[in-house]
Amino acid sequence: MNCGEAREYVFAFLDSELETPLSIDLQLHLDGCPDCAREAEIERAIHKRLDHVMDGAVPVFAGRLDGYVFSERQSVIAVNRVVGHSRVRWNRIAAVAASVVIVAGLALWYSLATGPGNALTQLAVGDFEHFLHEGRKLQIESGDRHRVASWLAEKTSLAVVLPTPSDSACKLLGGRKCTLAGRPAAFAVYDMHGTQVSLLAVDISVVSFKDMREVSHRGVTHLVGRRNGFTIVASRRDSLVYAAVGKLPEKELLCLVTESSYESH
Amino acid sequence: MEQTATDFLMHVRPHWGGLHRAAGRYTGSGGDARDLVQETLLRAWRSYNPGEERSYNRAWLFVIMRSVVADWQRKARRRVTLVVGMDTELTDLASADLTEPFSPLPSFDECRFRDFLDDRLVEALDRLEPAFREIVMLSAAGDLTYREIAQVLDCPVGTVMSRMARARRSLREALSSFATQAGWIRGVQS
Repeated sequence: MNCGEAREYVFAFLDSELETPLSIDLQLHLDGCPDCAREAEIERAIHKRLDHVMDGAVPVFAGRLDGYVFSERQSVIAVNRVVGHSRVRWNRIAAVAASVVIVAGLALWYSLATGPGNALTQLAVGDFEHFLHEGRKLQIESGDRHRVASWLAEKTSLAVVLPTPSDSACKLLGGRKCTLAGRPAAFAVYDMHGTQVSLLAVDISVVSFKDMREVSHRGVTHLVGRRNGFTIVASRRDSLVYAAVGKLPEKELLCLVTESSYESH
Repeated sequence: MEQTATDFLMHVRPHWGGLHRAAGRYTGSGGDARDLVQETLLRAWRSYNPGEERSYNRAWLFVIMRSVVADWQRKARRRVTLVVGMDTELTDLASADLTEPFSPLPSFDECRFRDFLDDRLVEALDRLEPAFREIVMLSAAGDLTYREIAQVLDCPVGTVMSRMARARRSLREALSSFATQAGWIRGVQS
């Protein structure tokens, strides 16, 4: 096999869709051609990241859907027997009713989605750890919250608003665009008493709040969670969830997500 | 009839995730994606007849989903971010030379390359022709095999293979273009 043929077949090879004889030929070529082997590795990395990008929030397909559908269908079948109309007419009505029930069951179930794979605690802490330990840089460095928020909004297409923290020792350092569960998210970093804290803004449809508890602060409910030694405090504004993440007590992180912090000054 | 519904749900269950991920790509919105899946399952339920000899598999569900998307496009009732071309032959796209060298990318280390992809891959995907974007999406988001994609797009498996290769080459070109604009690689000088 030559390099041109290798380029032609490499994608099917990476997708495990190439017939065995061609796969063997291609593998032999890659073993002996460093350039093609490098290109294959690059394409493998792109393919892997593509899967990650395409991985979005998926509601859980739980047993409650089955139960909801069948409890309703029992009553449909009972009506069918009692009334005793022609089989053809009632089968058609029952089929329509069953369709409505399935759709209604799906609608009920969507509102209760708690997919563990998209838990906010997992996404927010994972992203912050990635920033802290792998030396990722801020893409905009500024203490001006309006400037950073505008930049983040432009890059992510999210209506991001950054707070003016009620704690004067909390200073904005900058921000970066990131990707969570395949969707754009806004990431801002603050220095709070010498400790870095992140504030993440992401579309609410991307995340679930599994493993978080409700906390009331000044009459407003927030969600609080813990993971890997980090505290996460989250609050919803419009269609976004804002989550403050840091190794500080929750009452200190609250200053980044309380409603009053977002009022214009 | 209860057994029919149970059987139907058993056909749907393994493909739940793929359907939702694909719906998210067709519509770009969580709410519309859920509606797309609901409409797909409703139509699938209506056409489901275990007495018939046919295959109720993943490709069947995706054929129905594409049909719903095409209806939404025609009626413009919903926002569709990835259009489907039900009658497109794309013969011009299939004629491109797949043996040409790949567009260059910078020699980043693994971590920096991952950052580069995280920042640019979505944009690169959005730059693809809809037919290319769809075939990549059916594979990556829908988890369909080439044979299943062929069933969904109603074309030979060989066409899927060459179209997929062209789609991934186009993706590579877009990424290379970003890297060139950022100054990480020099453009080719004639």
